[in-house]
Amino acid sequence: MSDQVDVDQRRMHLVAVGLNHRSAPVEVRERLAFGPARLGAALHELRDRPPIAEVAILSTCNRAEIYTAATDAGLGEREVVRFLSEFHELDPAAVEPHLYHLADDGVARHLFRVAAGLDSMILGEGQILAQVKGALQAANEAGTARTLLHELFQRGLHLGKLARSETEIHRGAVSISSAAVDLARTVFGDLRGRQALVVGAGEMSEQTLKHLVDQGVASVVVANRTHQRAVELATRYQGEAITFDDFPAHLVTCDIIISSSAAPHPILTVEKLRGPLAARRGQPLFIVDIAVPRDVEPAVADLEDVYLFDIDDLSTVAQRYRSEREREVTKVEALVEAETARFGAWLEARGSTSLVVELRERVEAMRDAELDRWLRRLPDLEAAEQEVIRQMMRSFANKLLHGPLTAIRRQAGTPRESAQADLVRRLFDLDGGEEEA
Amino acid sequence: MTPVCVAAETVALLAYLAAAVLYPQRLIRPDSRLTRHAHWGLVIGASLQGLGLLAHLGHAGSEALFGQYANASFVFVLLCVGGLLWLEARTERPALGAFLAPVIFLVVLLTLFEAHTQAPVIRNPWFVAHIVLTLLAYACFGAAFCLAAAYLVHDGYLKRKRVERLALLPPLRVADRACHTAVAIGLPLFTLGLAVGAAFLVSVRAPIDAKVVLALVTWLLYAAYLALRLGRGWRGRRLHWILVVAFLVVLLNLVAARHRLELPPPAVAVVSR
Repeated sequence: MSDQVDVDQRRMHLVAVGLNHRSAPVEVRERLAFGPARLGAALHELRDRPPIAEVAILSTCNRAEIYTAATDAGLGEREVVRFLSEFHELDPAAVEPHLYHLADDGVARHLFRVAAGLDSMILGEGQILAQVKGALQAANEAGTARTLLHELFQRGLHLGKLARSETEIHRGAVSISSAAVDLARTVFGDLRGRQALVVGAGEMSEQTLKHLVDQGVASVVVANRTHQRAVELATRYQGEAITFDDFPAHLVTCDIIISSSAAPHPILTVEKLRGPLAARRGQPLFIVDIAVPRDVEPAVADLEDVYLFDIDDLSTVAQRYRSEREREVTKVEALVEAETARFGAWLEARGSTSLVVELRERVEAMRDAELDRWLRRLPDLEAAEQEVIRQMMRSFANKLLHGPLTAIRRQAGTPRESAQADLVRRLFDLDGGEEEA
Repeated sequence: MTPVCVAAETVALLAYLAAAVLYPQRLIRPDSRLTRHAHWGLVIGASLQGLGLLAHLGHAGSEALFGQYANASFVFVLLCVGGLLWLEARTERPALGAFLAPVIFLVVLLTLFEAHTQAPVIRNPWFVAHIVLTLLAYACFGAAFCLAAAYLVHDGYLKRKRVERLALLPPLRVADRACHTAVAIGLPLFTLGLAVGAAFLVSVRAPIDAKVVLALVTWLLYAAYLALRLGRGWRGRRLHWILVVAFLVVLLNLVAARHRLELPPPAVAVVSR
C-alpha cells in the first residue's frame, strides 16, 4: 500500500490558517497573496510537508486562507504557518499576529460563512462564490484536494448558492455607483441600447460608467473641462469625447446623465433643460448628480419625466440595501450552522467507514498471503480444488469480520466510537506496530 | 336562480373583494405575508363565478347563454384575470393587480345587481361577433390600464424617491412598451367590433344611444394614444394618463351595457338560426 493511502486511512483533521480584511491591513494581505502563477507550486510544496495530506488555497484581494487536511492538527497548523513565512520570505513574527487558526468544525463553519458572503467586505457579495470554486479547481488540478477538502468545498459551494436562493443576502446595490445603475434599471429595465452622457471625468463617474457599460449601455459620450481626460475616459469605454461646452447638445438624445464636474455652481438648470425636454416628448431622462457641490439644480427634479438622484439619495439607497442584507444574516447563519452539523456527521461517518475499509483490507491481505503460502506447498491441486479452498477462506474471513464490522457501524457517531476504534486498531494491529515479517 | 348558484356567486364576490383589498396593500406593505396571496382571491373568485354560471345554465338551459349580461361580464372578468396573472408572471412584478383587482370587483358587483336578468335574446351572428371582439378588446384595454397606472405610480415613487417600492412594479420603459402592445392589439379588435356592431345596428335600424357615443369616444382616445406615440413620438406621463381616462370610459360603457338596447320591437325578435 502506498504512503498516500496510509495517510488517508488514519484519522484526519481539518486545519485552516489565514488572514482577511479584518485581521490584516492591505499591506500585509498583498504580501501574503498567492498569485495564479505561483499557486500550483505553493499547493505542491505544502502538500509535501508532513503531516499535511490535502491542501487548498483561497487567495483573493480580501483574504489569503490555506485549508488543509492533516493527521495531526497542531503539527499541521505549525507547518502551515512555517510554510507561509518561508514561501513569502517573511519574518514569522511579522505574519503571526494577523493570522487566525481554525480546526475541524471551525474550518467548515468558516468556509461556509465565507462562501455565503458573511465574511466578505461587502456583505453577501457574489464574487466570493466563484473564488471558492476557483480555489477548489486549482487544488483539483494540482492533485492536492482529495476526499476531505473536496467534500468540504463542494458543501461550501452548495451552501453559498443556497444562501443566495433562500435569503435576500445578495439583493440590492450597496455602493453608490451600483445604486445608480440599479435605479437606472428601474426606469429603463434593460439598459442595452441606452445612451449615457458623462459630464466630468472623475473617479466616481468612471465607476458608475463602468457599471452602466457592464449592463450593456450602447453608447457613451464624455464631456470634461480638460478635454484630454474626456478623451482618455471615452477611449477606455469605446465612447465619444466632446468639449465641455458641447454637452447641452446631447441632452435630447441621451437617456442617462452622470454628472460629477468640479463646477462651483449648477451646470444643468431647469432653463437649460426646457428645450431638450420638449424635444424629447416625454422620453424618460435619468440624471445622477454625484458632484459636490451639486451640478444639477434641485428644481430639475420637479420637471416631468426627469428622474434626478444626487449623492445623498444614492447613499441612502445603498445604506438601505446594506441594512436589508444585515437583516438576512441570522437566516444565513442558521443555514451555515445546519450545514456545519451535517458536515460534522459526514466526517464522523467517514471515520468509521475508513476503519471498516482498513480492517477489511488488513484481514483480506492476511488471508491472501496465507492462501498463497499454503497453495505453493500443494502444487498438485487442480484449479477447481484451489478455487474451493479460496472460496472457503473468503467465507471464513467474511464470517470472522461480520461481528466487528457490524459493531463499528453501530457505534458510528456515538460517544463510544473513538474508544472502540482504538480498541479495534489495537486488537487487529491496524497501525502496523507488530507487522508480520 | 338556484341556491347553489347564489352561494357560488356570493363567495366569488367575497373572493374578488379580498383581492381588491389585498392587492393595493402590496404597494403599501410589500412585506406583508397576507398580501402575497392576493392573486388567489382572483383565481378563487373566477372559478366560483364560472361554477355559478354553469349551475345556472344547467338549470335555465342554453337560452341563458346568450341572453344574460352576467355571461358577458364573466368573459370580460375571466380575460382580465388571466391576462393579469400572465402579466405578473411575465414581468415578475407582483403588484400590477393593485390597479385591476378593484376594477374586476366593481364589474362583478355591478353584474350582480342585475344578475341573470334577461336581456333581449339576440342570436344574430353579427351581434355575437361584436360582443366577442369588443370583450377581447376591453381585456387588452384592461391590461393597458393596469400597466399605465403602474407607470404613473412608479413615476411617483421615483419622484418621491420611494426606492423600496420600485421592485413591485415594472420599469417605466417596460410598462410603456407593454401598454403600447396591449393597445396595438386591442384597438384593431375594438375597431372591428365597432364596425360589426355598426352593421348590426344599421340592419335592425336601431337609434344611436349613449353606449354608441361612449364607444366612439373610447375609440378616439385609444386612436389618439397610438397616433401620438407612433406619429409624434410621445412618451411619458401624459401619454399614460390618456390610457387611464380611456379605460374609465370603457368602464362607463360597461355600465351603459346594463341598460337594454333601445331596439324597436321587431329587432328583438331577430333570431338567426
